[in-house]
Amino acid sequence: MSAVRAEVFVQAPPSPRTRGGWRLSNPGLWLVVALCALYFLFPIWAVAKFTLELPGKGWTLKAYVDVIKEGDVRHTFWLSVQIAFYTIILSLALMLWTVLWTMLKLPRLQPVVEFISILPYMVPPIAFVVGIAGVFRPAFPSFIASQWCLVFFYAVLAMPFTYRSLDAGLRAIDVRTLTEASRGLGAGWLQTIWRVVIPNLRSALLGATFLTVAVVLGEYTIASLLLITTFPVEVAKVNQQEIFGGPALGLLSMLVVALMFAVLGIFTRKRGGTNAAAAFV
Amino acid sequence: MSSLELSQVRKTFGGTVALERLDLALGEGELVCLLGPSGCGKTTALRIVAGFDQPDSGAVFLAGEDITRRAANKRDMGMVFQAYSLFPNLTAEENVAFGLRLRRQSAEQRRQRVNEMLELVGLSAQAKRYAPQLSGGQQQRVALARALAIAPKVLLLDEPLSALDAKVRVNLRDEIRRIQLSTGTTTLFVTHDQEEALAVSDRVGVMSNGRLEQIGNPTAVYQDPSTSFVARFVGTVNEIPGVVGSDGKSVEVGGTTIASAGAERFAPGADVQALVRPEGLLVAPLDGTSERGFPGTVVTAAFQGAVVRVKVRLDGNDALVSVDAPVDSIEHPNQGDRVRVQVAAHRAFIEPATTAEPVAAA
Repeated sequence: MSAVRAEVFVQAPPSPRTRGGWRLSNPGLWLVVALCALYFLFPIWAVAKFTLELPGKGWTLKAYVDVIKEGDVRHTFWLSVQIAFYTIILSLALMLWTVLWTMLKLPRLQPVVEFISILPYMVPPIAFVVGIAGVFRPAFPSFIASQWCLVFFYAVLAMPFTYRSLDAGLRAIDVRTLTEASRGLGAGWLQTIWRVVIPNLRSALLGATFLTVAVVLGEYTIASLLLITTFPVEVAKVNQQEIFGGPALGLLSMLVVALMFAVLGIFTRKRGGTNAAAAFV
Repeated sequence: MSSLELSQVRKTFGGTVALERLDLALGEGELVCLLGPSGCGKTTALRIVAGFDQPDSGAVFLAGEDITRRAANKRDMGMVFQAYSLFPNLTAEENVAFGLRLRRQSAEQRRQRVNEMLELVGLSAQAKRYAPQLSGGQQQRVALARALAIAPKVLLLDEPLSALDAKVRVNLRDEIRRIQLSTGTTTLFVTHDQEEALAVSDRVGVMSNGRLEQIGNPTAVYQDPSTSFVARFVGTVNEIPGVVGSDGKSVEVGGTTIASAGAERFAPGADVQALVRPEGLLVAPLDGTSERGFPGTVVTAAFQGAVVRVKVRLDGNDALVSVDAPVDSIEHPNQGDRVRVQVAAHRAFIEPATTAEPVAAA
């Protein structure tokens, strides 16, 4: 009996230096981290050095200041922000309702909706834009000529991210019980979504929002082939014309997206909400 | 007029019948428990009353008004769920105020009602806490306060205690009954726990395979079951072989004649088995002073507080018989003791002797 007791006491509490089964002193772990860091950070560092250390001028922000001063850059950035905003509204309005409804009322359709949500992954953007232009141009020429048509196409492109983020968020809360509790207390569906679902999905909605912004700020093919100059198209143009301005602009747009995710990370950590993880799906 | 009534309610899921023409009526201020095993249809019945599911046929009436097709949010019912259902983004008091806010009550009215309800469930001190900061029992009490705050016409309780540990369950069970009596709210309580159902109900409805097998006050359901299923599901029973008496109304079991409402279904002299509860049996020493009962050997004798649960293997029978003897009425029998099991019950449910092996009455 005493031997058993001794064995129990010998078991030390988990070491604070152990995370997820890895010992922090494991050299293999550090090698993997170093390689990943090198792979991702080296190109960024190279771009930063290239754009910040100009020949004959040393370290300077001139490339960034010059490129931001350009009217076309500011105009296209503002256009992309607006397109991103409307895309988020459309995408969330469609997907929140769809995911919630299939989860609550049509669970058998969930695999079908999930499959549809990943279709934008499967169809190459070039095929997508050729297809939609072929269909919409003869039928709705003014629609396809408008810059706002991108909102609809980007909502489709963002669907995999929006769907997954919302699906994970809704699974993290017992949405069936919560919606039934709300309805039982007298709330209609819109009140239930507004007062119960959305407040408990804040992290997942933020995740979906930022991923959509990332899609819009990074999409080039569709906008370019539809002859609409969005921010990414402008970045490509500047890249061809200005040796330092192009990479500077690319780095800036990447920093904007990174900043958004950092804000999301801080927000979800502060709340410690039930669906913090879902935001990053 | 009944406060709540289900009439001929039928519900199927795919090809499976969940409810088969259920008739149920609750009087004003009454607490009725639907008791049954998983899949018997009790939760389906509750969800149909709440408006979360629609019946295939039949109707639900609230104070005489047909509400079968009325939306869940228009029914004025409060519900406590099996799963914790507090809105995680709201504090306990905000949860309780949720239904009041929807009813556009003023801030002062809401504050008063919330305080009253939280006091009723004994959680005034936890008013500012969020759901994750409350224990399971506290969460269910807040859920109860939230359901009662809107002064519902009917309170629906869907196994609200099943996620709690045993001690909290018993405390909260008693508290629910106290609160229900004090508010006089008509209540439909669904549970699979027979002890819970018998302890809190005015009436217990026992369900099986979508049908209501029996409904009555807890004593009647326990002591005078109308079907074999009810006898077996509510409490423990022993299958004791017997013979239907010549009058066709009684049954002779181990030398004791007891009444049985079901005896007329059998011909006089037919072999039957009586379903007798452990407290309806006695353990007597096998000393030759009595010829009544069945001889057997004690297998275990477990002290359970007020009674000793004695398990006896009757001679010539592999099945064990459970006897609950009041702790001060017998000498504590030991394993291996030879005893005589006698029938003390006044009545028992009987069924055909299909499975029981004959036991030689001494």
